[in-house]
Amino acid sequence: MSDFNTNEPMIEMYIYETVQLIDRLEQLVMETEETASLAFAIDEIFRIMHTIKGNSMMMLYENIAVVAHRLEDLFDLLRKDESVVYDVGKITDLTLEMIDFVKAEIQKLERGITPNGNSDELKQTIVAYMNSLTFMNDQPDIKLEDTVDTNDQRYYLSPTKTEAKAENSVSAETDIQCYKASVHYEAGSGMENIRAFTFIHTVKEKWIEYHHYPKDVTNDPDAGTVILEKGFHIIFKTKLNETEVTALFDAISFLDHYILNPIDEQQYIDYLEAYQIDNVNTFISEPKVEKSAEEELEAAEDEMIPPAFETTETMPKSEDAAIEHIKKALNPKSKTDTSTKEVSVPAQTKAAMISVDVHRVDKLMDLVGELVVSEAMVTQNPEIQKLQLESFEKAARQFRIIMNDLQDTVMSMRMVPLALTFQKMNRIVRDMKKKIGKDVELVIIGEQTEVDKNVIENINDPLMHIIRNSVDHGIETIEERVDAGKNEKGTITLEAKHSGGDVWIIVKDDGRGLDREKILDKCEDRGILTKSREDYSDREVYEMLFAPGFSTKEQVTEFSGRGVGLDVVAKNIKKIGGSVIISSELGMGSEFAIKIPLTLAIINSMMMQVGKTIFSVPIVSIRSSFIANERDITTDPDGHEMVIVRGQAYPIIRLHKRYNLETEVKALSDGILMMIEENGRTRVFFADAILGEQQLVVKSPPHYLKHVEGLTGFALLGDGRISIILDPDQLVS
Amino acid sequence: MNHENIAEEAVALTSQELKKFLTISIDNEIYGIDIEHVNDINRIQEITEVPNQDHYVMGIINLRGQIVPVIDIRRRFVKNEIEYDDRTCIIVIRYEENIVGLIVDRVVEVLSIPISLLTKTDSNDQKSKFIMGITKYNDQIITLLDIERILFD
Repeated sequence: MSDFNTNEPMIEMYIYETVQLIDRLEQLVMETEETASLAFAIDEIFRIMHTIKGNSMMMLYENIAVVAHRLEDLFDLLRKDESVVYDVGKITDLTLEMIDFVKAEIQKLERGITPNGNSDELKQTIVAYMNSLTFMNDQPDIKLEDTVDTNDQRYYLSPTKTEAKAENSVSAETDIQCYKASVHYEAGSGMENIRAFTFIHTVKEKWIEYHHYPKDVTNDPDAGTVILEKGFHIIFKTKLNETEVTALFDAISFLDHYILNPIDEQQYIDYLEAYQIDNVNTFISEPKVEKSAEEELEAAEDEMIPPAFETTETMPKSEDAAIEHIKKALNPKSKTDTSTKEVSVPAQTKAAMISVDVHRVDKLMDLVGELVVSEAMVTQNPEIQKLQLESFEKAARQFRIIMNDLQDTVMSMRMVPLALTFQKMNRIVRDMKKKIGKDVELVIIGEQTEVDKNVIENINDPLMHIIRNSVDHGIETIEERVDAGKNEKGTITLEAKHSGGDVWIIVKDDGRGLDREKILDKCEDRGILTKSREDYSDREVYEMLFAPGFSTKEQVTEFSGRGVGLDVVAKNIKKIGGSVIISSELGMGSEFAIKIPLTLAIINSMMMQVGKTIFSVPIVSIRSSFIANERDITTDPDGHEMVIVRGQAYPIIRLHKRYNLETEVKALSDGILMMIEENGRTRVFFADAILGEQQLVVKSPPHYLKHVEGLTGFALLGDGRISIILDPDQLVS
Repeated sequence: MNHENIAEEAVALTSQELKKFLTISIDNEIYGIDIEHVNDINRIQEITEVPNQDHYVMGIINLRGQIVPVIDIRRRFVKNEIEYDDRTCIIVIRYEENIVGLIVDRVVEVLSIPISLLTKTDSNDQKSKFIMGITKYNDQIITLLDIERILFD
C-alpha cells in the first residue's frame, strides 16, 4: 500500500488526463455518429488512443493500455489507408465500449482500487473487427493476385527478391532453406480451404518445392473443417530469406496465427515421409526448435513488437502478434510514422488551453475581491476625501475601471460551456434507445451557454436522470407512437438559455405526457393526498413526482424506475440553488424546466440593514419594496401582522425579531417592507432600510457556525464589512 | 521537591525535546496554546454578529477575504467580560478543518517548554474542562489549554 501512496500524485494526474481524453473522445464519437462520417476525427482519436495507451503503460494499467493499443492500431489503419471501407457504426460502438471500460476503471482508481477489469473480450472484438477490415479490403487484391500483388507488399518484396536471387546465383544451393509452417485461420472466417488454396497459389512460384496437408484443398469437402480444426500445414523449400518468408505469411487474411519454423534437410525428409505415407499426426506436429539465448533475450526485450517478425523461430500465438503482422505488412513504415506524429500531438491539441487547479482560480478570485476592498480603502480614505485632488481622482477612476475588468475576467475564468455535459446526454440517449428499442432523437440547443464550473459539476447527474426518465417513461414505443399517429421517432429537446440572472435547462419530449389521474391514483395509494383530488392544480400534481419514493411506471427497467427517481433530482438541483418546473400535456409530451443560477459564486442582490446587520437577498426573488402605510396594516387575533397590497393580505415577518437583533427601528412605518416571492409563496419582510443593490461573491458559511435557518452564506462588501445572505426559499417556507 | 528536581535534570538531558506554546493572559493568569494550532495573531477588528449562535460565538470577521468565526475566551470560560482595547487580540486557530478566532486580552510570548515538564490533568474533571495540562516554567505556572474542547465541547 505504501507504493500506492507514493504514486498518488501520478495517479491523480493520470486520472485527470485520462478523464479529459475520454471526455473528448466521447464527444468526437458522438459527432461522428451524427455526421455518419469518421474521416475528420480519425487523426484525433488515434492520438487520444495513443496517449491513453502510453499513460496507461507507464502506470502499468495493462488492461486499459491493451484496449487503447488495439484501437490505436485500428485507427492507425484507417488513417493510413484511406481506401479501407469500414462501418462507422461498428467502429463507434467499439470505441464507446472502450470508453465505458476505461471509465469504469478510472472510477475504481478514484476509489483507490487498482484497475483490474478484464478487457480481453473487448480486445478480441476489436482485433476480430480489424482483421475482418483488413480482409475485406484485401479481397479484391486476392482475386487479382496472379497478376497484381497488394501494393505495399509488392514494393516491399520485389527488391529484396531480386537481391536474394542475385545472391543465390553466387552461392547456389546452400541458400535453400526448408520450413515447416502451419496456418490457423480465425474461427468463423469461412471458406478456409479456398483461403488455403489462394495462399498456396500466391506463393508457389516463390517456393522450390512444397507439400501441404490437407493434400487436396479444392476438391476435398472436408478440407475446410480440417484446416479450421488442425490448421493448414505446409512444408516447403525456398530460396527466400526468413524475412521474405515471414512477409508472405504476414499477408494472409483472416489469420488467427501462424507457426513458421525453419527446419533442416533431415527434418524435411522426415516430414516428407510422413506426408507420403499419410501419417497426418507426424506431419502436422511442430518441429522441436532450440531457441538460442540471444533470441530469447531479444524476444523478451520488447513486448510491443511481437518477437515473431524479429525471429521466425518464436511463435506468434496470440492475436496481438497476428495483428501486428497484418499492420506491418500493410504499413511497413507505420512505426516511424507514429513516432514522428507523436511529437506534434501536444502542440496541436494543447496550444490554446491550459488546465489550472480550481483552487488557484478560487484563490485568485478571493484576492481580487480583497483588492477591490483595499481599492475602496485607499480611494475613499477619509483623510484623502477632505482634499481637492484632481489628478488623484482621475487616477483612481482609471484604477477602478481596470479593477472591474479584472474582476469580470476572473469570474469568466470559471465559466464553462454546457456543451460537454450535453454531449454526455447524447450518449445516454444513444445507449438507451439501442437497448429498449425506441427510436429517439436528442436535439440539443444552446450548448454554448456558459455556467460556472461548480454548477456544471452539479447539474450532470440530475440532468442525466431527467433524460433517462424521458426516454424510458416519456417516449412511447414505436408501435404506440404509430397508433397515436405520431412520428415513429420520438424527439427529446435539450435546451439551455440565459434568462436574467439564471440559466434555464429545458428537457422537452414529445412522448405520452404526464397522466394527472394516474399520478393522483398513485398518491392516493401512498396516502400522501392532503385535499380532495379536484383541488389539486396541475402544477401541484406534477410536483408530487418529486415526492420521495414516487415512481409512476410500474415496470422497473435497467435505466430508471428504481424508485429513487425524481426526488433525488429535485434535491440535487435545490442544492445548487435551482428549481424544477414541470409542465405537460397528456399525449403531447412533457417539459422539465430546470432553473439554475448562472453561478453559485456571484449573486446580484439587494442589501438591507437591520440594526448593525446587513442582510442581502437575491434580487430575482424580490417583487417590490415599499414603505408601509398605517391603513394597510392589520393584526390578526394571534398577533400576526399582515399588510394588504392590492387587495391581498400578506404576513409580515420582522427580520429583527426573527433573528433576535437589536434595532432602533421598530415601527413599521419607519422602516421598509420588502415583498419576496419564491416557489409561488409570497411573504413580506420588515427591515430598517435598504442599502442598495450589489453583486456579491458568495462565501459559504464556516462549518464551525451553527446552521441558521434562512442563511445561505456571507459576502464581503466593498468597505470590508460582511453581509449575511438570505435564501428566499427558506425565508418564505 | 524531589519530583521537580528529577524533571529538571531530565530537561538538561533531553533539552532538544521542546514544545512551543503561545502564552496569553486572562485576569493575570497565564495560559498556553500549543503553537501547532496557531495560524495567525491579529488585532481585534470589527465583528459581524451572526444570529442564533452559542453565547460565546461573537460572530465572524473578515480575515483577508476569509470568513472566520470568532469566540470570546472570557465568555467561554464564563468570566466577567471586559471591553476590548487596543491590546485585545484575535488568535487564529486552525484545528482540523476549522479556522476559528479566539479573542484574548493579550498575547504574552512564545515559550519553548521541555516536554518532560508538562503534566497532564484529568480532563474529565468538570472544573478544568478546557485544560489539558499544567506546567511550571521559569517560576511561572502556565495552564495549557485544550483547543479541541474549547472549540467543540
